[in-house]
Amino acid sequence: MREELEALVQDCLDGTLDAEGRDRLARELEADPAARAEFVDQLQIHQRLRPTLETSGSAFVDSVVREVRLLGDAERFSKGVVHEIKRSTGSSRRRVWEMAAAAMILAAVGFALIQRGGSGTSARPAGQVLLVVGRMPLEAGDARVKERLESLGFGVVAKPALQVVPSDGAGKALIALSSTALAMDVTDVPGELTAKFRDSGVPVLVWEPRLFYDLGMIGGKEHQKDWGALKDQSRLVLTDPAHPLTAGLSGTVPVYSGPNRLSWGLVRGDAIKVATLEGHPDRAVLFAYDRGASMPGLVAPARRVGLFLFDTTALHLTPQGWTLFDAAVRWCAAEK
Amino acid sequence: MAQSTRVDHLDDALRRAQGGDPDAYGAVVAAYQARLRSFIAGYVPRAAWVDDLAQQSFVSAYQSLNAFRVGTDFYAWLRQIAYNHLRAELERTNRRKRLEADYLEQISAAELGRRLDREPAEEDALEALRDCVSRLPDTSRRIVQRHYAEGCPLAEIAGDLGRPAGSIKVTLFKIRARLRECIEKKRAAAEPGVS
Repeated sequence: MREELEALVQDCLDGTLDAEGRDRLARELEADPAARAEFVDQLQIHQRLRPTLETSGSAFVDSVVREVRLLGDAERFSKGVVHEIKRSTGSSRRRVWEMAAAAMILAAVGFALIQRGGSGTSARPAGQVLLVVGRMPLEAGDARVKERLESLGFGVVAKPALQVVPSDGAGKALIALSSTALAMDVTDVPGELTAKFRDSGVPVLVWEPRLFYDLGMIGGKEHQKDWGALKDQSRLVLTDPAHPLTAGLSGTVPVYSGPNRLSWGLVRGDAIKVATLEGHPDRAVLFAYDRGASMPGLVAPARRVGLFLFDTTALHLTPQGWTLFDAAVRWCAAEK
Repeated sequence: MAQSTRVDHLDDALRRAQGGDPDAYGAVVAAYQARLRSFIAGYVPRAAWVDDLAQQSFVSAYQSLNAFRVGTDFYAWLRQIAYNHLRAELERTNRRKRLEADYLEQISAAELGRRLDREPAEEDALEALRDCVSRLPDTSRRIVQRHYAEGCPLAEIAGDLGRPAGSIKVTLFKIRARLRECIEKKRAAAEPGVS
C-alpha cells in the first residue's frame, strides 16, 4: 500500500479523518481491490482488539440484563392486567373478552412505555433524554454522546429521526437533536422534525445547524450566511464568562483535539450568546434562550440551546469541550 | 475438571434463565460476551455497532431461550443469531443510497459481508487474537495494550515513548498487519491436512 494511502487508513482508524479524507479514501479503495482488502484487514484487527483485550465487560453485561428485565416486566404487566380484569368480570364471557382486548391494548401501551428506551435505557435520577439521530445502531459520534449523557446520570432513549414521534419527547428532561438526524438519504426529515419539536415544552439541545432556523432559534435560513458548519476549527471564543453555560471557562478555548467542524448560527440580540467562532464574533457556536424568551421564530416554549458539535466531532472533544457539553446539557435540562 | 465445573455452572444458569431469571442470564452473558463481541467486531464497518449488535443478539437469544437445548453448544447457537443480525445490518447498509459521507462505510460493509460468509463457524477469533498479541515484541505489545485496552490516545503514547505521534501510527499499522499474518497462519495450520 502506498505511503499516502497508508496515512489515510491510519487516520481513518484513528478517527481523525474528516469527511473529505474519508471520501478520498473511499475513491482510492474503490479503484484498488488490493488496497481495499488491506484496509479491511486493518479494520478487522483494529475493531477486534478492544473487545479482545478488555479485562471487564461488566458494563455490557449490565446493559443486557437491564434489557431482559424490561422484557420480563412487560410480560408480567400484560399478564397481571388480564388476570385482574378476568377476576372482576364475573361470568359474562363476552365481557371477559372485551376487557381482555382492552387489557391487551393497555399492556401494549405499557410495553411500549417500558420499551421506549430501546437499547440500554433505564430511568435514572437525572431523568431521560430523547436523543434523535440518523440511524441505529448509533454512529460513533452519537454513541459517544450517549455514553456521556449516561455518565451524567441520564437514561438515554435513542431514536432515528424517521421513527421519532412528538410523544417520544413527553416527560423527558431534554430532547437532543444530533446533526446525524439529517445526514441520511432522507429529504423530508427537516420539516418533520421541526413540526415535532419546534413547539415542544421540553428543553431542546440541538447541534444540527440546518435546524436552527426551523426551530425558530435564528432569523435567517440561508446557508453560509445565517448558519453553517465551519471546517478546520478546533477553538471557540467564550463571550459571556458569567453565564453557567461557560462552566467557569473564559477566553479562547480548545474544544477539539484537531481541526473539525463547528456548527454555528447567526443570532440576534435576544439570544444568550455564550461562544462564537474565532474571528467571527457574529457567528454563535454556543447560544441559548431561556423559557419565555423571545426567539426570532417564536417565544421559547422551554429552554433552547444551539451547540457547536457536528456529526462525529464528539469523538474529538477535549476536556474543555466536554465541560461545555456537560454545562449545556445541565443548564438546558435544569428547568424540568 | 475445572472446565467441566464451568460447563455445569453455565448449564445451570441457562436452565434458570429459561425459567425467567435475568440474573442467571447475566452469568451466561458474562461468559460469552467477549467472544461474541470479538466475532461481531470483525465484521462491522464502525466500532459503535459492536455493542448494539451484540446486545440485540443476546436479547434475541433470551427471547428464544426455550428453543435452546441445554447441554448443546450455546455459543454456536448464539453466534448464528448474531450472524443473522449482522447479515441484516450489512445488507441494510449496502442498500442505502450512495452518499459521500457514508460511501467508505458502504465499501467496507460490502467487503466485510463477503468475508463474513467465509469465516469458519468454529473459529475463535478472540483466542487467536489474544494469542497473537501475546507473541508480539514487548514494546509493540505495550503500545497495543495502552491504546486498545486502556484507551490511551496515540499522542500520549508517543509522548511517553519520546517519539512523534506519526511514527506511532505507522507502528500500529505494522503491528496490525503482523497480527493479521499471525491469525492467517493459525487459520492455515488449523485446516485439515495442513498441520
